[in-house]
Amino acid sequence: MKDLARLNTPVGIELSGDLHEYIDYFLGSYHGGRNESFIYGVVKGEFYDYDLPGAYPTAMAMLDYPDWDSREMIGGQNGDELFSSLNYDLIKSYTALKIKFEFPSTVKYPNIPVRLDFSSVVFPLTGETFCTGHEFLLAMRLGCRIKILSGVYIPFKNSKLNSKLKLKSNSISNLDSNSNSDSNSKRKFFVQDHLIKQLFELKYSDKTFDSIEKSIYKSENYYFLKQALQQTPVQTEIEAETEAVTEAETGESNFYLVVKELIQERVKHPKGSYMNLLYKFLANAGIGQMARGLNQKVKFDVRSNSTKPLPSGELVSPLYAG
Amino acid sequence: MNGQENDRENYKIISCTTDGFISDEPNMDSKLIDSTNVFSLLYYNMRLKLTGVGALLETKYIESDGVIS
Repeated sequence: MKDLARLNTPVGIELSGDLHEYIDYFLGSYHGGRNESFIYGVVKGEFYDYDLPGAYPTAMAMLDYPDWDSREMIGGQNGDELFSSLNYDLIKSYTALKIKFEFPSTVKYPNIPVRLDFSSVVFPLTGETFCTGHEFLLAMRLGCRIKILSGVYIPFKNSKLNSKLKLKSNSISNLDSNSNSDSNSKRKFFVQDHLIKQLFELKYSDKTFDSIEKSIYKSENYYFLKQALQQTPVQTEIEAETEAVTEAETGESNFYLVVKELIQERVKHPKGSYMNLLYKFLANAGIGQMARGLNQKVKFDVRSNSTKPLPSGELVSPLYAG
Repeated sequence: MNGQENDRENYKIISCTTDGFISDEPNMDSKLIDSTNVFSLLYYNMRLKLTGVGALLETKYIESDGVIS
């Protein structure tokens, strides 16, 4: 999107196909990076700074081109209804929602961003805001009550894996037909997580079902999982269908291939060397280029000795950035 | 804080960013390996595909005492 500002003009709207109908949702749900302190002042003791390794390029590698022809407008339903219809397909999609939400008071770290003013984003227990499909999913896992006011769902072009998962999770959803309790909702999530874990771990490691079961056993979620497995043949289904998951179904989009190539080039050079750092920078800069200029930030321009709005560029897309 | 120290009982995660957090809980990088959370699994497996190493978290720094401002 080379010229974001011109999109919001009569000519821009007419020339942009259907994009103008959805772009405000994606712009609204792009909040930028989170940076939040839960306490302030003097802290005593030993503290550990944990990071996701290669967070931005890894997230970028999971992207794919949007399947515009399969887009759906969303609105009017509650969170449970949306989850029942799309569930983990939301992971492989560009989804932007306008929602009203309320977390249980026991949730210590709510995850839904709400814009406070022009410069601040907060993460309250209740509110009304725009959010992405991923943020919606995580909030649902935390027991959040959500009302979808409106939104748009655009699946990835390559979402075969999720279709398969959807079929499976639909059969799990049937378990809950006679109940609407919190424990049933939690059970559904945990069974689906368990199912995905099996699909991936069997593919990428030599762990057996036994070892996976042991790790689940240790988990605090075991109670729900055990309940679910006792009431459904889902475990047998998983075993039967896992073999059908092939390499192609996990998807290797162009985003993945670019990130993979940059990582392969980087490791050819010694750690800390100029070329190693350059390829690291290129991988990290990719996602930044997709978000450049979206929030109309101003930047000091040394040539004109004044501040100017940061222009967007050819790689910019509010879908990818969010 | 008016010069007062924070109550240690409240510690767990003292701050977070999009791609990390600071905590007084040691060894969280190894504790999360067995997570059954769908987002953890997706991340773990994508790292495994990209780099051959499926780590979920890495410890960047360890610090003693400080001021959060």
